[in-house]
Amino acid sequence: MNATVVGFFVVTVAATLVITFVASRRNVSVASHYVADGQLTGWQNGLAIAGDYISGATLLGTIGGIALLGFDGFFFGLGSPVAIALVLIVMAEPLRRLGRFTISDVVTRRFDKTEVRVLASLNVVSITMVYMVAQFVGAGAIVSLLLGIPFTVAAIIIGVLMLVYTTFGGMLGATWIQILQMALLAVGFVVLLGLTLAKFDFNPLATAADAVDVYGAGVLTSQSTGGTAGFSTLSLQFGIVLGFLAMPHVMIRFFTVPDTRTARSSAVTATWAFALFYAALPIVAYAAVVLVGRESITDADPGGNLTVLLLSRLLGGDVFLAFMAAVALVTIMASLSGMCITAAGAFGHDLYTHVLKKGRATDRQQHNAARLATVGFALVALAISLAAQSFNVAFLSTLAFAVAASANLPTLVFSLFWRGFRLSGAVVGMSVGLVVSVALVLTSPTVMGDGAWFPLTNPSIISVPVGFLATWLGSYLRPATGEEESAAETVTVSAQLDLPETGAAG
Amino acid sequence: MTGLPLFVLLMVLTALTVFTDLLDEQLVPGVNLAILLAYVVFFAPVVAAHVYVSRMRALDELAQQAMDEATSPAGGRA
Repeated sequence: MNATVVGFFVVTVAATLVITFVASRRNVSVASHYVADGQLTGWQNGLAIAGDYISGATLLGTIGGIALLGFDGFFFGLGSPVAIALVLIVMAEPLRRLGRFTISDVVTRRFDKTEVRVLASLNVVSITMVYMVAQFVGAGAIVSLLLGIPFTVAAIIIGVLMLVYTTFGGMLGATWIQILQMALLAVGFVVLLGLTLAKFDFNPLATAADAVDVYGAGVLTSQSTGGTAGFSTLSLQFGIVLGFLAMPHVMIRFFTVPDTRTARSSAVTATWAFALFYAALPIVAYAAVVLVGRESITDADPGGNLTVLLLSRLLGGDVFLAFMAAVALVTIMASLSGMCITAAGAFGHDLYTHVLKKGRATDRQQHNAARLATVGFALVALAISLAAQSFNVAFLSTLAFAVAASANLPTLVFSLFWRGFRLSGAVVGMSVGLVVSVALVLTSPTVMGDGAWFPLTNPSIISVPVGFLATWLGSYLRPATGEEESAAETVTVSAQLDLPETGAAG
Repeated sequence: MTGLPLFVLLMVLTALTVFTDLLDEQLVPGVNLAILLAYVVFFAPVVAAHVYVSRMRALDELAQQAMDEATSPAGGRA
């Protein structure tokens, strides 16, 4: 165990606990717990969106992917800046106008039915829990490698910290930890880029050019060419972009701002953060290929997850390695905290308050339920991750994005923009999207290996159109009631305009 | 709809990269067309976001002006 790394880890954790303590004094209501009272500024929320999405796997895995797989590594990052721009243009403002705490609030503005809220919240819980477990197992493995401790100990440390951040700090605490993450990430990357470029005469193109000299032109091209490999990559991009548009932990960030202007400015800040972050990754990755070497990278970790840390140690010594390791750790914990609050919201707000208590819970009861749900989800995610540590959970991230894009996105988009959308369409669409995406992932080569029934490693290119088609066709199963037609008129107009009566729902 | 062209560009770049070798040739050492287009995809969303926000700001101002005129005594009489 590297003492300097442990020292930086302790200091970073102490900083996050101070943030949590300060935030806990303002975490006094259900609104503060779920959405930070809706009072975040654009830059705060924008950095938190970036912090939510730039997880430990994104930071460490994408650089490792480019270093080891060439252009195929780009595919893990290319879709994200496009996705956040689409979120800004399509989703941010309508969500801010119609939602209060959860995605289900938006859908139930259109169909105020218990079954719709239950189905929508179960989708949110499933997507978030699956994604959390994938991130948790990956994070446990990375922390285990960084600190030289067993996976179980690493996962318990992460789980306990996440539980403390979210239970006491709520959304405000999670947001400020994400802001700290982005600040540390920015400092770390600026220093790393400076040290890297100094080795290449401050010519960013020289990193890739030198990598070509050492390993050939293949480092710049895709290895997943033609046939099912090509279609799998196409499907991956399709799923990343459209899945992002319905990932619950990203979408609820638009409920944390006071108005649509702030929702817009937060998406712009996130777009800048994504563009700068992803644009820096190839420079760092190709420099690592040249300076560290692919053999040393795979010796340290066959998946390439330690690439950025190996480069940091080479260029900045043990102190800089420790700093970047601390950045990776806070990145892991910040993104997990956001997911935990989202899943807890779907349970505490949707299932407890609206389904079990029929909307008649006091604020104090709701706040207690929110905290209990947060503790519950942190513990369940930890337990599943500990049980799943010996399995290959790579398919879980694919599954989460595929379900979000296939089951949630059609319902969200049609709820906001199509007057002809009906309750039957919502129920059929969410059910078919869920079943088809899960079935295709479970029968894909990622899970079944060589004898897979479905040939693509990512199902989105099939399951998303099927989800939209089922939602559309389902809307014609039975004629609209007068209540549905009235809600359709109100919601589709309210989604587009800042009307005084549409400030909050649920 | 400034978002749709971005999505199309991303999917076309992906398709050309995995199904053809049109983007493989290096333009300068270390940069092929695929990487050049990847950087366009990284930063085009920033441009699209600013264009969208400035357009929406202009619409907000127009709406506010219309609201002010409608609610002012002179506007109400008109």
